[in-house]
Amino acid sequence: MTTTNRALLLVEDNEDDVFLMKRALKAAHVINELCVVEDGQEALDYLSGAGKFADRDSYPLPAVVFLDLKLPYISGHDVLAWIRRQKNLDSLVVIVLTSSNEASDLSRCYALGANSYLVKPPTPDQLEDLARSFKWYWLEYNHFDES
Amino acid sequence: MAQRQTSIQKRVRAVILLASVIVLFVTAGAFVIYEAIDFRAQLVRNLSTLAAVIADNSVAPLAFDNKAIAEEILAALRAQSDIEAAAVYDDDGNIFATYPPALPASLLPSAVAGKGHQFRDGALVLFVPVLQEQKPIGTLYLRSSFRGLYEQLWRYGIIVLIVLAGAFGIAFMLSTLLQKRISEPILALTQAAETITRQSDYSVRAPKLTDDELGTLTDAFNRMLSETQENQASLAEQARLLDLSTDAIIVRDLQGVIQFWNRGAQEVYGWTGAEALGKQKHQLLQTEFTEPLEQIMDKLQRQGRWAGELVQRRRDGTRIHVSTRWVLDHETGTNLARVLITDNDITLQKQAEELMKSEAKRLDALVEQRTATLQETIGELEAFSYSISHDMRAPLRAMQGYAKALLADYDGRLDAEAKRYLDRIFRGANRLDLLIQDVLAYSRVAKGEIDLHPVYLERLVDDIISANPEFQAPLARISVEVPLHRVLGHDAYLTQCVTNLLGNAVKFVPPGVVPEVCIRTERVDGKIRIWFEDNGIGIDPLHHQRIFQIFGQVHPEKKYGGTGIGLAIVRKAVQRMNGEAGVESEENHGSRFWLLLNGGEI
Repeated sequence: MTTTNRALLLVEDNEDDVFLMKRALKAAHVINELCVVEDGQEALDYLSGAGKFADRDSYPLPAVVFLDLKLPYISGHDVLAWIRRQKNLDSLVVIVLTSSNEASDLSRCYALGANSYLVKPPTPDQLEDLARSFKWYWLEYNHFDES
Repeated sequence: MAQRQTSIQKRVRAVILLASVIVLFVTAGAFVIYEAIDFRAQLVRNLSTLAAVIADNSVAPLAFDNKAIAEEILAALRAQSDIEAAAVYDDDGNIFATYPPALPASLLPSAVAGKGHQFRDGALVLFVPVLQEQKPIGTLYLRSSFRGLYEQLWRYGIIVLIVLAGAFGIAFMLSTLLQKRISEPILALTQAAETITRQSDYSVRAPKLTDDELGTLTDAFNRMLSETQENQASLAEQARLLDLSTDAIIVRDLQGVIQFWNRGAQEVYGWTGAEALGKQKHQLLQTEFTEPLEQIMDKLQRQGRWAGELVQRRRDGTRIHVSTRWVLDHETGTNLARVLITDNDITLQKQAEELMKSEAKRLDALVEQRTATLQETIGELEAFSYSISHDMRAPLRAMQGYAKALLADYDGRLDAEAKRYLDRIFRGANRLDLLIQDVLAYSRVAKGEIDLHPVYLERLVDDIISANPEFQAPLARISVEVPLHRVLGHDAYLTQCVTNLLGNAVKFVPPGVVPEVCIRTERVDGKIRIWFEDNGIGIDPLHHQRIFQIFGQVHPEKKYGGTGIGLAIVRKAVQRMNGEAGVESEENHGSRFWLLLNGGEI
């Protein structure tokens, strides 16, 4: 076990989904700090440390980003593409978490360098299940580049 | 014609008459001449005989110098009216006796010849010696006038004239009859020729009146007429055919002067033949050339023909498009050439073409516009389904999430009724999510291109069964009759089909019955039919069509659940794989669903 305690960033404009995700992670006993931004531009600002996000104590650089695709201002695809252009974010794990299971979205996200693609499960139980699997795989087994 | 004495008749008659008259004259002349000569000879002979007799009788009077007897003897000459004078000379040449006794001296010869006769002063003069004992004792002189000859000749002349007149009359009648034999066939020919010339009627025939050369001539003439008539008929037929043509057929010389103009040309251009003949074609029709005339003529000279399109004007001034073909025709044996032109009016065609072009353009534009609209609609539809999968499912998740959260977090404070309501909210949201997923699945199956390839059904079915606990014991018993034939299909689509069919099979069973499904394949006419036979509640044949339609559910949803889209997805997916889907079933006797696909043998 290499359990990481680094922060997680949720890029999600739907506050219900934010609520449900927080609840599922909590149910799965994920104790990592969960930061939330509500649109693509904010995600870019957060990750680049622009404005108020320069304060890394309050807004730590995350180990994992949960990225919704349908976002205001800048879409999830563009956020993903931007992340993969940033040298210092090479080791950032990007998990696309979307309600779309369109083949076009899937292939595009992998082409842009997504680490994983998850479709939002319809029921809270399934979401909780997903959160548990996430914790088990990404937070406990996966090795992060800590340099 | 027949009344008028024609020259040929006159001439023939004149020739016949002339010949007859000449012959008659020659004959009569010869006869008269012969008669005249014969008469003189006879006269000489008669006078000589008479003289010999008188001379004999005069011997005695001379010898005895008896003048009276001598004159008596001479007086016997009275019986001969022609004898004008007679005289007996004595041996010395002196007149012994004369007849008539008072003989004028003018009738006496100037000198006494010994012997012989001579024609002198329109009379025959004869001297005969009077012989006694073979010795001349005197000379007898006789003079006979030609009155008898003249009288005879006169008579002959009258007879000849009468004969001539009669002969002429006969000749005239004969010639009238004979000339008909010659002139009538000629006249008939002439008449036929004149009729033909006047009426251009080549059906006229000259009657054959004789079997001689004229008959042959008539035959030849009639034969010629027959040929001419045939030629004329075939020419007329050709001309009629030319006139029948709705194409304008025109002949012009190299200078452009119109020489022939058929009825089609009149119809096309409005000018009659009489108006067009002799005119310059391109002036008359105000031809607009698409290429210079010199160039066209050059081509015509080199290749012998040219075809193209021209714009010309009708008589009423309207512009017409014609398709034209020109052929150069060299008249045999001359340097003259002319151009045979066939034009047909393609104005309507041109207009139709123009119309079609503009219509095609309009249609193209319309198609483009529609395609754009369609693309837009498709784009909107895609955006719509995308938005369904993203945005519409989010509130559902929220409903489910909050209902669940309420149940979890406020468990102690909710009564049973409240919990039941929350459960209804949760399940309603769940069902709507299923519906949305199925609609999306249907629209995914309905659109986009797919590649077909051989599919290993056994492995595909195994995978589906292992992935779905409801297809496994003890919930269901699904058996596969191996081997399953390979089919030509698409993995994802086939998975969708098989999953939906098995899902239905295990869902629609009477309560308390364990679903049993048998999957097998068979070959049907080179295709593969996949059977899914279950022990379910079956379907009334009345509904066999409806169940494959979208939302074509026949069983109450409350009892069996489901969205009513599953079989519609199956049918659509099979159609996309060039196959068919169907069912054989009766209520309460299970269902036998089938998919018919192309074989996937390599």
